[in-house]
Amino acid sequence: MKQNNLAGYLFISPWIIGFLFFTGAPVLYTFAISGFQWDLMSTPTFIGLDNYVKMFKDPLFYQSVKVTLIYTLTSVPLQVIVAMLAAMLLNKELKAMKLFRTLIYLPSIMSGVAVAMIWSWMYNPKFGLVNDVLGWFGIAGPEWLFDEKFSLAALVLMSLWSIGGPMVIFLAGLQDIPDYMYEAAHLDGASKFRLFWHVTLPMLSPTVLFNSVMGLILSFQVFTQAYVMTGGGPSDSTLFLVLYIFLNGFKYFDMGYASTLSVVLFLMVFVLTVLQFKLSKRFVHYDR
Amino acid sequence: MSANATNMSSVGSSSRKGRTGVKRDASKLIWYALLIFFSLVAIVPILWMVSSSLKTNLGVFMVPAKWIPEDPQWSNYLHVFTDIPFFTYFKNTAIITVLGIVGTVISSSLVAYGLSRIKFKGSNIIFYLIIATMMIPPQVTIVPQFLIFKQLGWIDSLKPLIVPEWFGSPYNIFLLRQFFIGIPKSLDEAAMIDGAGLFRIYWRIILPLSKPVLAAISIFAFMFFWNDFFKPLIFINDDSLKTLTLGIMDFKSSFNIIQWNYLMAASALILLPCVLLFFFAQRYFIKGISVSGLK
Repeated sequence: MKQNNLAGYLFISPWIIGFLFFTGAPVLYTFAISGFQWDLMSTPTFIGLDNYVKMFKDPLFYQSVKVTLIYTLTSVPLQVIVAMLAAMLLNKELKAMKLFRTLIYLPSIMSGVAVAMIWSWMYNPKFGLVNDVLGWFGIAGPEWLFDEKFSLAALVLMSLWSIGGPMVIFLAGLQDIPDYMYEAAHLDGASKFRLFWHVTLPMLSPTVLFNSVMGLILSFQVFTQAYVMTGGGPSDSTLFLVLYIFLNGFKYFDMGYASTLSVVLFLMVFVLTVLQFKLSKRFVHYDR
Repeated sequence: MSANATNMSSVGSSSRKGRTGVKRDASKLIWYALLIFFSLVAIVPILWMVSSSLKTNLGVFMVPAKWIPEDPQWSNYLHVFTDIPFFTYFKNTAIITVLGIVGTVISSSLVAYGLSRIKFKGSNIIFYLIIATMMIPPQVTIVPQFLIFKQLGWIDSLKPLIVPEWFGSPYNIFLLRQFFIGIPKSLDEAAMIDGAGLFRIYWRIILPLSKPVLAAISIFAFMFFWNDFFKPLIFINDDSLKTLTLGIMDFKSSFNIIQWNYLMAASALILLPCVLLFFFAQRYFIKGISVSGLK
């Protein structure tokens, strides 16, 4: 096919315009505003790096980074493990498998405020189902969302409820592994564990990487759960970075400081994604 | 397909059929037990929501909880319609959802077509740039977006929630590009010989052949717009422009004591269209996700 620059750019022009106006310009704008003090009412005053200085002295900033990192480092690996387990369970020709797939996937179509409401009620210390079930085993459940030691854990556990997306991707990955690999390994006398460790896992490693990267990106965007269920509390134990940005920008109307925090969020996601790709070079096995 | 480690155990030891048969039955039993456990964890919260939504104000605070309320309060659902301006919120949500889906499908498919079927200078760089923007959390740009829309006078209108969707979304562009690449180029060439232009090929050949993936994208877009909370929260203050997701928050804050039964009924109503869509269009869900996974 011969080159057709004009037509090519014409077709992709929606994205270019959108990128300039809704992504590119705002990203640059974020960096710019972070140098100003601006409450939307008065004219913005240039204050250089003062917002950054303020940030490094702000205990709530450290708290929000800590909360976000703890959440990411616990929920993402757990999600990947649970999704992989579920996919392996579902990847077998048994009766009623379609029904099981549907049921296990179902929570993943639910999102946002409604789900946050359901789980607020599930976690209710006195009347919620979670502590009710724990009670059957003689365990006195904690106060969950009302206890700073358990609130973040509650949100991590809740994130395991909707692992349908990565699960389906794992399922597709599992079905791509050719049967002969298992047969060959089996003839060599490999145990089930070794089959998993030396065949399944390496063959799935690109899928693991994909799901981890997606999980990481999403975990840095957690907002709705925290806003609806805990409001960042108790004692800032669920003050996610995005929630802190929101509070500064749209509750305290400190646009400069909210932008400064946004810059940091941007850099954190960037660094972690690059790091993940670098690390994965050592573990991911590409066979295609 | 079911290349499973457990099936393997029977291959090598056919001489001891009796024992492996028992062993296989046992492993099958464990397998089912695990599947049932996973399924229960998945659906019990949903059933709990429905059960709570049919209880009385006092019924929700009964210990131990009753799963099937003796006197199901269907009127709780009526309360959702009457206690908040449900139909206004529904209308706003529907407008955003429909215009958002149409916008993102048209614009994303145009861009994906350009990237996958037309050779032009810099197309690779553009493609990687699109992938890179997927990594940027939308919250990073929310402050400047708010300021830009404020300048334009778009705050407290539905525009900030609709207009940006008409410029292609990276995820959908990526998905469609992957799919378009798989359509044989010979079709384009044949059409070109017949005198069809690029847009005609896009409209008459590529789009009709991509119905399954377009359906998948539309469904995911529906879920996204229908459930979106962050953007409406920031761009909408006016009560007459609120969406259902904002409305349900009203519900929570307008009572001194949270009325969990009404709140669960409202949640169930919001989730209902998603559940229906899922059951009617299940194969597209799986399709959409598996296309997105690698390759």
